[in-house]
Amino acid sequence: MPEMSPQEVTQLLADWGRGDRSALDRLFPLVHSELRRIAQRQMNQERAGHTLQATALVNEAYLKLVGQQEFEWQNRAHFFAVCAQVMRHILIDHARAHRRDKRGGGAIQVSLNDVAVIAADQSSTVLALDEALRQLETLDSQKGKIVELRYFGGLSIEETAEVLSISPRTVRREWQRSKAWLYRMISEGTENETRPLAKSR
Amino acid sequence: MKPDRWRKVDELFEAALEHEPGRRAAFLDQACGSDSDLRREVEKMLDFEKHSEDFIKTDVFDIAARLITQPPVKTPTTSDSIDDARFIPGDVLLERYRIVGLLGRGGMGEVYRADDLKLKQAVALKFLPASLSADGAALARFYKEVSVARQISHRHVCRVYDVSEFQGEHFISMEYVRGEELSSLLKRIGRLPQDKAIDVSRQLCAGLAAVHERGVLHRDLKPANIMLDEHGEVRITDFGIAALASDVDRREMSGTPAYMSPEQLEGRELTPKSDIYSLGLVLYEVFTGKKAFEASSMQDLLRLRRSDSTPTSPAQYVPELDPLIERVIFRCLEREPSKRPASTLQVAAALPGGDPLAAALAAGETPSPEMVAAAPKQGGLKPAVAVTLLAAAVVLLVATCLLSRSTTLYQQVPLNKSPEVLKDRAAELVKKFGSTPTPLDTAYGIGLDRDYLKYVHDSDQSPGRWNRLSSGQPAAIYFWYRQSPRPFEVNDGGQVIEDQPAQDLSGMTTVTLDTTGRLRSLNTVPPAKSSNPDATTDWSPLFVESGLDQTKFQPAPNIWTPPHQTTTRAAWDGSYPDAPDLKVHIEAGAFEGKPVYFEIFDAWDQPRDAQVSIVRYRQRVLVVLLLTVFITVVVGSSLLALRNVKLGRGDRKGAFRLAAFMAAVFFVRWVFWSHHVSNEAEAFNFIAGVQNTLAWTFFFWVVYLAFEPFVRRRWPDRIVSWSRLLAGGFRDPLVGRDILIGAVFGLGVVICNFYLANAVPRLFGYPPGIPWMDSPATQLLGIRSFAFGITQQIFGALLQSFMLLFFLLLLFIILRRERIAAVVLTLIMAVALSLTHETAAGVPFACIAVLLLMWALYRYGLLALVSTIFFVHLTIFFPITSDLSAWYAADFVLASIVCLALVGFAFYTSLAGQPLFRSSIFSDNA
Repeated sequence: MPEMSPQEVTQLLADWGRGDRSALDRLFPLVHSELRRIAQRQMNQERAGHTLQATALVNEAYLKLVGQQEFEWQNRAHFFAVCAQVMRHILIDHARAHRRDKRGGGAIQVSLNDVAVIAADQSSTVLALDEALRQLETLDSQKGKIVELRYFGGLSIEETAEVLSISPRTVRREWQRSKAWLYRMISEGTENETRPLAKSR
Repeated sequence: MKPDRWRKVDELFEAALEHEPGRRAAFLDQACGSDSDLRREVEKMLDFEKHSEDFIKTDVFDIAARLITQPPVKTPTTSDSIDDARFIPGDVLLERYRIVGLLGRGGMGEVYRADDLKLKQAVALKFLPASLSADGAALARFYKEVSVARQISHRHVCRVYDVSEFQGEHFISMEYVRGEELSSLLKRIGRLPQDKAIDVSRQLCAGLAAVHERGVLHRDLKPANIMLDEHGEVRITDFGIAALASDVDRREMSGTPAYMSPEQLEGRELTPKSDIYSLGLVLYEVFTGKKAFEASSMQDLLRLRRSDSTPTSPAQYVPELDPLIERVIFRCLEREPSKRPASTLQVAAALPGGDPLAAALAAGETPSPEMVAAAPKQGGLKPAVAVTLLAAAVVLLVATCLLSRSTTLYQQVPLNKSPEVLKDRAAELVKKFGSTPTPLDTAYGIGLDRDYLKYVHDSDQSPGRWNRLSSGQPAAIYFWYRQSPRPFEVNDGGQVIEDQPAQDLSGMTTVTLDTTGRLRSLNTVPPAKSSNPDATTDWSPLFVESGLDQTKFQPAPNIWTPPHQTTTRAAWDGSYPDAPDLKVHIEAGAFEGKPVYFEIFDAWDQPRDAQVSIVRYRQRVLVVLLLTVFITVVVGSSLLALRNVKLGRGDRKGAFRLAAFMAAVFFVRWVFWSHHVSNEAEAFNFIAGVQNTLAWTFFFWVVYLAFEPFVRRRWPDRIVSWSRLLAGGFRDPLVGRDILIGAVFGLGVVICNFYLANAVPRLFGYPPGIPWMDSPATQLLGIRSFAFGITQQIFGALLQSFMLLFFLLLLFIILRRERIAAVVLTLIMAVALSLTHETAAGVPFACIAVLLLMWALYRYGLLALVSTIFFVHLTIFFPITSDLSAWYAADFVLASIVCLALVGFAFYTSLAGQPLFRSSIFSDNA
C-alpha cells in the first residue's frame, strides 16, 4: 500500500466532502488497513484490561493518517463517516461469508416480540439490517447516514450531530424513527430476498 | 410504499411522537381525516417504535473490531487474510464440507468454518502443516491420537470428529464453537472477576479431567486454546493435536514457551502433571490478568523460563485474591511434577467454595468416579475421636471373646482332637473293619447335627440344658471321613462333601465320628463279587469303637434299611453311657463277615427323605426372599449395566478393578477350598474353578456397572471413601475413618445379634438359646478353612453391602424420599433378622444390629458398611478360644491379627499424620 502523507489524506477527505467519489475509493483501503492495524495491536496488547472503544480507535486512526496539526473539524467529521463505511463494509463482507444458506429463500424472521433475535444470529441480522438500511437510504438519505454513523461507526448522538452538522435533537428524533422504520422493514422482510449469497471471488 | 407517501407517513409519525401517547389518537383523527390507510400506517409505525427501544443494541463495533483483526496473521507482512486463504467461501471439499469462511491461522495451519453437508452442522476444519502430511510415522501417530481424542465427549471439551485428506493435505473436522478465545477475552477485559474466574477454572479442570481420563494429554494448554462459547461455557480445544504437530516440525513452534511445563521445555517425557503445570499458568492469568512469565522477546522468554525464577505472587496484582487460590496455583506450578496436584479434579476441589460434587449435583450432572474420589472430604479424625474408636474396637473385641464362651457351640463341645487326628483314626477304623486296599482319594469335614440341638431345645427347659453337649455323645458336632478307590468327582462347588458324590462304588466308605473320636456311623459299599459267603460276623468291635457297652444293649428287630447290600443284619436298643435318658437304636450290617454298615439312631432321627421336607416355615420365607432378591439383582443389573455402558455412564475402570480383585479372591478360594485330585480330572476341576471364578467376577462387574452410576448420581457422598479405596488410596484418612467406624459397628452388631440376644434372655430366666455356630465345616479345618473363610467374608461383605445399597436405592426411587426409604429398609431388615431368632427376646437385639448396619450405610457410606459386615463375619466365622494351645487356636490368632491389624491401620490412617499428643506437652519451652 502506498504511503500517503497527512496532507494528501486531508486533501482526499476534503475532496470526498465536496462529493468526489473517487476520493473515497482511495481513502477506503487506507482507513481499512489503519483501523485494522490499530485494532490488532490493541487486542494483542500485553497490558490487559483494555477495552476497545470505537471513538478511541477511530481517533487514533485519524491522528495517524491525518496528523495532529492538521486537526480540522470538517476533516474529522468526514473521516468518521469514512470509518463508519469501512466498518459497515467489513461487517457485511464477513456476515455474507458466515451466513449459512440453509434458510430457504433467505427470508429473515424477526418476530415483533423478540428483539433479542438480534443477538442470536449476528450474521443474518447484520445482513438484514444492511438490506433495510439500503432501503431506508433510498427513501431518506439523512436517516441512512445517521444509522450508518451510529450503528456502524459507533458514534454517540452528539458526535453524529457534529459529523452531520445538525442538532443533536434532530439526530435523536431521526434515530428514534429510523429504528422503528428499520425494525418494520426487517420484520416485514426486504424486497430483495433472494439475492445470491457470498459471491465468489 | 412510494417515496412521497413514505415521506408523508414519516412526517405524521414524527408529529405524532411529539404528542403524549394518550393524545396521539386525537391528533391522528384530526391529521389524517378520512385517509384511514394513512392513519393505519402511522399507527403501525408508532407500534414499531414502541418495540424498537432495544433494537440495534448489539455492540456492533466490538464485532467489527474483532472481524477486522481476524484472522490473526502469521507474519506482519501478510496483508488481507481472506484474500490468500486456500479456500474461499462456497468451496466444497470431499463433497461434504462447504467452506463458510476462514476462522484463523494457528501455529499449525489454516482453520476454516464449514458446513458439514452430510450431517447438516457447522464444523471447524483444521488443516495440518504440510510437513506433517509428508511424515508417515508422525501421521500414524497423529491418526492414533485423533482416534482417541474423538472418543472424548464432555461439555467442556471441543469435540473432534474426523480426519480427512484433501488434495494431499490432512485436516481434522471438529466441533465449531461460536464464541471467543479466553486469550482474547483476557486481553479485552484483563482478569476475570473472582467468581467467574473460579467458575471458568472449575470447568477447565473438569474438561481437562475428561481428556486425561482417556489417556490423552493436551500438551499445549494455553488461553488461546480455550474457548468461551456463546453461553460463557469453557471449551478446551486442540488437545493433543497442536503439540503433536509441532513435534514434527520443530522450526515452527506452535505453542509459546510461556505456557510450557519445565519438563516440556527440557524435552522430557510429558505426563498429565505437565498439563497441570500449564493449567496453573492459565489459572494465574485468569485470576490476575497477567501472564506468569513474560518477556519482550522469545530469547528472553526462553532464558526466563529456563532459569529458576518463580512468578510474582498473584496477590501482588490482586490483593483481595483468596489465599486458597494462590496456594492452588503455586502447587500447580511446582517444578517437580510429583509435588503438583495428582489430578485436575484435585485442583478443582482445592479452589475456594469448591465442592465440585455439590456443584455437579446442582447442575444435574453425574459426577465422574474420579470426581467423587477427589471430593474435598478430609475425613481425618480428631485424635481424641480416633483413640475412642480404637479403644471401643478393642473393648468390643475382648467382650466378643468373653461373651462367646457360653453362647457358641464350639465352646461347648469337646474339641480336643484336631481334624487330622480324627482323620487318622477314621482311616484306621476303615482298615480294621474292611480289607479295602489303600484308598486313592480321601476327604473329610465337619458336620453339625441341628436336629439334636433342636431336640434338646424342645424337650429340656432347664438352665443347664446345654451342659450335656460337653460329653460329645451324642454328637452335636461330628467328624466325617470318606475314602474311595477312585478320585472323587467334585460337586458344582468344587467340593466333596458328606453325601456328594453319592456312595456308589465298591470300596467307598464313609465314617462319622464324634469329636472325641468315637464311631458314630460306618457305611461301606460291599465288593461287587461274592467271595466268602459263609463267614460269620463279630459285632463287638463296633460297640468298642463307638464307646458303647454292648451288655447294656438288647437285640431288637431291624427297622432301618441299610443303604447297601448286606448278608447279615443285626439291631439293638439301649442308651448312651453318659446320657442314660436318651434312648438309641443301633442298626448294623455285614457283608460276608465284614461290617459294612453301622449307625446309631437317636430319637430325633428321621428318614432322610422325610428330613428334606422338614424345612421350617420361617426358613422357607427367608430362602424365598433371598432367592427373589438375588434373581432380581442379577437380571436387573445386567440390563442396567448394558444401558450404562451404552450411555458411557458406567465406571468401567472401577468395575474392572473390583472384578479383578474379586477374581483373585475367588481363585484363592478355589485353590484352598476345592477338593483337588491327582488324576486328569483335576484339569476339569480347574476349569470348573475358573468358570466359577469368572461367573462371580462377572456378577460383580455387572452389578457394579449397573448401579454404581445411580449411586454416584444421587449419593456421591456415600461412595467417596469407597471410590478412593478403589482408586488405590489405601492411605487416605477417609478410608481409614470408615474402616475404623465399620470395625466398631461390626463388633457391635455381632455382640448384639449373636451374643447379647442369647445371653440377656438368660438373665430373665429364659432357658439359654441354642448355642450359635454358623457352619463348622468352614471354621474348624485349619489353614484351609482360614483361607476360605477370609475370601468368603470379603465376598460376603461386598455382596451384602451392595445388596443393601441397591435396595436402599430401589426404595428411594420408589418412595422418592431418602429418609423414608432408609426407615422402610431398616424395618424390612429388622423383620428378616428377627425371624432368625428363636425367641421374641432376641428381636430387640436384632433391631439394634440392623440399626447399626443402616447407620453405617446411611451416615458413613458404602465402605463403612462393607467394613461393618466384614468385621461381623470375621468375628463369627472364626472360632474364638481362650485356650491358645487348642488345635484351632491358630485360626483364632490369625483372625485376631487380621482384625487388630485392620483396626490399627485404620486408626493410624484416620489420624492423617496428626500427632496423638500435642507436641507442646513434650517440648521444654512450652
